[in-house]
Amino acid sequence: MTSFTLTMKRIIFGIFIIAVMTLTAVFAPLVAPYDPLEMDLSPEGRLKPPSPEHFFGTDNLGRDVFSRMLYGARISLSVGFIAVIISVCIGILLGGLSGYYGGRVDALIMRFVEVMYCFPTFFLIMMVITFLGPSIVNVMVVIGLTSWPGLCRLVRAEFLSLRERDFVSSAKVQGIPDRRIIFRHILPNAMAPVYVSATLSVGAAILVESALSFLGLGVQIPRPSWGNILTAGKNYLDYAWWLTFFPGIAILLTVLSFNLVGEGLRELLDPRLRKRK
Amino acid sequence: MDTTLRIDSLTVDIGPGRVIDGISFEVAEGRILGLVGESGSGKTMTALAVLGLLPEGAVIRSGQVLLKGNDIVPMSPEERRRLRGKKAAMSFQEPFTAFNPVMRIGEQVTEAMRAHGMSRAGAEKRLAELSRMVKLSPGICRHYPHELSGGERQRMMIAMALSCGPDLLILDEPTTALDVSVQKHILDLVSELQRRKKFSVLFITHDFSVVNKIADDVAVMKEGRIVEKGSKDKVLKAPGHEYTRKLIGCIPRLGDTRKRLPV
Repeated sequence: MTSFTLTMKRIIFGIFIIAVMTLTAVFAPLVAPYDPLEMDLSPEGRLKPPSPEHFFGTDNLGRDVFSRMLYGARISLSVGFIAVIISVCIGILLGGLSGYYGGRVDALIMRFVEVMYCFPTFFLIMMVITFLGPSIVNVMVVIGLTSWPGLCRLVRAEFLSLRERDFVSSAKVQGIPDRRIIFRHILPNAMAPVYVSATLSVGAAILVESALSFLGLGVQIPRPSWGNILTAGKNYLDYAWWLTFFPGIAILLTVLSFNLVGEGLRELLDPRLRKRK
Repeated sequence: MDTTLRIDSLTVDIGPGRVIDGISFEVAEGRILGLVGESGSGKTMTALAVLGLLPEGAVIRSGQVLLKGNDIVPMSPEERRRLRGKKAAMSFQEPFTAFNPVMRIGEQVTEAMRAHGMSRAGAEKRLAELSRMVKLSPGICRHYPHELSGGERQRMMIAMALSCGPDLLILDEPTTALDVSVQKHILDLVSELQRRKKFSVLFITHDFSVVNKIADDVAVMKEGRIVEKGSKDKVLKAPGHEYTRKLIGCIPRLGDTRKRLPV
């Protein structure tokens, strides 16, 4: 087991990277040196390597890659967060109902979760996007609607053990309505694994979004996203490494940071893990 | 004398096992009934049946549970929820686990009153009254459960149970988890409040010395049956059943020279 200080260092590193990414994404119009859509088709303007004028070089249409990546970060991060918010809401609601009421409600919801597990998620997303048409909203919603089953099981497991606790009986004895017991008494005590899982899911959602955009199913060109900058760059791998290198690094760093924070939180919040250090 | 709670040949099964076997007793208005028996004799099940909170799988086979004359057995879950806290309230054995660890004590007490339709302001005001009533400073309500001692938590639990002015207070082994001096304070508090507020108490315990201190009437339970009931004096002085005599024989006395208590 890693030591407390190392865990803290990881969390701080992760939060730092996420904060930098988020800030630059939010303030993209102020930070970006160029318009991400402005082209320079002259032979000198295209595929320029990184330089003080263009930190990350320019692409095949002479657009500034650094500026495009800043705007791309907006897409990637908002997809990550919104998809996870959707999935956390569904997961908590269904997991909570399932764990609290048990019996038939539980059986029904759990069979539904198992059905959801049966689908290869990524192909399901691709199929839905193909039918509904690629758009950033569709991507967020579809990722959100397909990524909740794991969280649902976690929440259910927490509820199953918490509902037997005395303070829940005590609340029942006082005549507190079920809705309040679920959301005010049990849920706050069940949140630790939710935080961990949600943080890890943000990284995963960003990865899925990048993959979809890479395949042309996510953000549509000319709007930039990390995934479609990569796509554009793959044809020039031999002589314009910066087109694929920087978006790749950005995706890697972001996903890594969310994973570091998630794993760190897991170690901090789980007393069983803490004891073993 | 009116009865607050009357249980009439109540039988409860869990699966193939019979946990309560045709018990009948009543708690008269303004009196304290001590329900005594060993672990597993069905005391807590009886309390849960009164509140309509029997665990999953438990079935009431027959009988009536009359709270102020209304039978709760045929009621819908929502009707029973409305009664809980308001007509009959209960406080638990373990004051350490009976509060939600992530919620302030005061909030948990006001919540019960709010659930029965009291306004926020009214509940806040009543909260201060309640904490004074159980001899704690109202400031304690801002604390989280882990910041309070066992005795303080037990007092707040009684305050919570009394928050909606129930006719019947069920105390399930309220002193078992506390040390003897705190036990005494809690018992004194219960009898004082009971005299002042005139509610009835169903006091569940396995300890005859506690019954002796607090109860007016006694019912002795064994293996799901009531083996003896009557006024405290009658049962304690002249126990009619072998089991009662054994239980009374188990009270350790100062200066008792016997090495082992009879089992």
